Amino acid sequence: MLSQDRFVIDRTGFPMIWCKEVETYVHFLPITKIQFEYFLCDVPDAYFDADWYDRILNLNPRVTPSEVSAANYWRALMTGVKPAESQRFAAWCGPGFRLPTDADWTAIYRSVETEPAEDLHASGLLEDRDQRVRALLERIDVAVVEASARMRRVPGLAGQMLLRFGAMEWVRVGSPPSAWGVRGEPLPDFCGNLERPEHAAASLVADPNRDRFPEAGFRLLYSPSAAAAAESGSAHPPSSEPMSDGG
Amino acid sequence: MENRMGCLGFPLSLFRPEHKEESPHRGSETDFPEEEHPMIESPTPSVEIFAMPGHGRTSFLWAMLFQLRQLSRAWPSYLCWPLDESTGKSLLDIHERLRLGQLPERSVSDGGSERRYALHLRNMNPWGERYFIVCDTPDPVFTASRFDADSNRRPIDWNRPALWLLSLSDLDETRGRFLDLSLDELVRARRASGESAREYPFRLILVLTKGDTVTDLPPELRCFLREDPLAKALASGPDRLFRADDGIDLSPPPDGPDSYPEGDPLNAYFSARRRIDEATRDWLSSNSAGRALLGRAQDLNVEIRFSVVSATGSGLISGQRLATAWSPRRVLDPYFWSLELGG
Repeated sequence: MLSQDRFVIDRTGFPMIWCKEVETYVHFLPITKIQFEYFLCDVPDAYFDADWYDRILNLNPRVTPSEVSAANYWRALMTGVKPAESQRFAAWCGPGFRLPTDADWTAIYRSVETEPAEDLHASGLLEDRDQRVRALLERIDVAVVEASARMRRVPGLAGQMLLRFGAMEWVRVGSPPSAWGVRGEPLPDFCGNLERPEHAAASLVADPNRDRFPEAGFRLLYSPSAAAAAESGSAHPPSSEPMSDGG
Repeated sequence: MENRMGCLGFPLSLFRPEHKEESPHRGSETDFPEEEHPMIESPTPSVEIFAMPGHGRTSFLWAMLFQLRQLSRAWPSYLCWPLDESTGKSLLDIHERLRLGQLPERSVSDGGSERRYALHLRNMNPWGERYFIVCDTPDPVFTASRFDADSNRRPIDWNRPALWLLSLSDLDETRGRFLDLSLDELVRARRASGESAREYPFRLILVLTKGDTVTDLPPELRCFLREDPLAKALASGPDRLFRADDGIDLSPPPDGPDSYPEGDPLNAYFSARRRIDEATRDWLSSNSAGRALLGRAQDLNVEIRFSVVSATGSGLISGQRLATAWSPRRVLDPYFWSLELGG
């Protein structure tokens, strides 16, 4: 395996971190409303119209980066989306992007569960970021430290990435993946959930493409090799971070 | 291999009028009546439940009935069957609804139908054999307006330990600050019901419902809910619910604080219940509303135990449906407390 940059930036300017256990990049945070708004502005699709987004915002109202706090940071996340809608966003992000499988999510969680949190400034994650992206990353970072302290947990990298105290996240389940499940450990203020994040996803009994769950969001994986194997003309390949410290 | 109905695959012939049940074995520690099934006709529940509207009464009852039925997987000699056809049908219906993640319709307090469930529980150490009869119906304390006409009021046996379901996340600020006054309402209703009730301390199990959504629930209590060994094994999804080899190992983790005595595999489950009681008492004592409640309970000679439960285990809900099957947590604790306190 060739050495990888530790971070890449997706087409919306948000960072992804290399996870060697799954040999892909994974979004540092679940997909945020800011990211999805780039998509909404770009897709010529009547399905994702203003009414659609209004309905989504009714489920989990928007908060601006400057308003993010420990009492509302989950409102910055794009939740209430159905798996198929998440996949549309993944396709828009470019070749090599996909939603994780349950096994991916487990591997990612375990790989960062005991890792210390990143120093956002020292790691270079904030360098050259758009002002909104930078503000959101910083504010969520502070909010999660506070929320974790209240829950008497050390935030670590899992908390910082909102794998813990974030949203419930869509994952593909089955072998081969044929169904949907949810993973995560949201703060009880956002969504009650007593499943352990390291345990496999429980089988969904609801129809995820009919029912809309206000607390269900997602994050994406990006595989450079899969992208390379796809047609070579991707218009928006992720850009490498210049500040990479290896990986 | 177990059929798809699992433990609910009881013979419907039990419901036929001509069916004669064998006389149950009398446990030495029970107050089991001499008659064959006298309590079927009795209007008095064996467990009284009080709850404000919207505090999770129906969900709690569903989860409790589900787990009482499933307990045989942890207690090899334990048996549970319905005492009447209505309960039998309800058990099947509840079991299926839990499997599908369906939530109850609006509370009966808001005008839904009233339900009564009657079970026969056998070989339930250390309490032996019991009838379990509960009503999912508004109580005259917290839903008094329903009882203005007084036509459907049923008698309440105040000498039995009562369950008070309280959802902290559904209390408005005023109610939250005046829990002691809610306790007053209960005790006042009890005293108004008759002299005989005054002979004993009022034994009350305060059940904090919807524990998964309580934002400031102490991590220790959250851990008890999350690690409920019974719930994890019983309600983790259809695959495991209906597997052929469905015995449950309730052994505690090697580093657990309790050692497991030989014999009853539920001892660790029971000891966790005591620690939950203590931890909840300590937690409530840390704020003024909780201290007022505990102080008032002492003044009123109310013997109180605490329990924290989550009927669904998850709040990932769309409309009237959970994303996953129900995963009830610690929902039998209140009933076990009621038995221990003399129910």
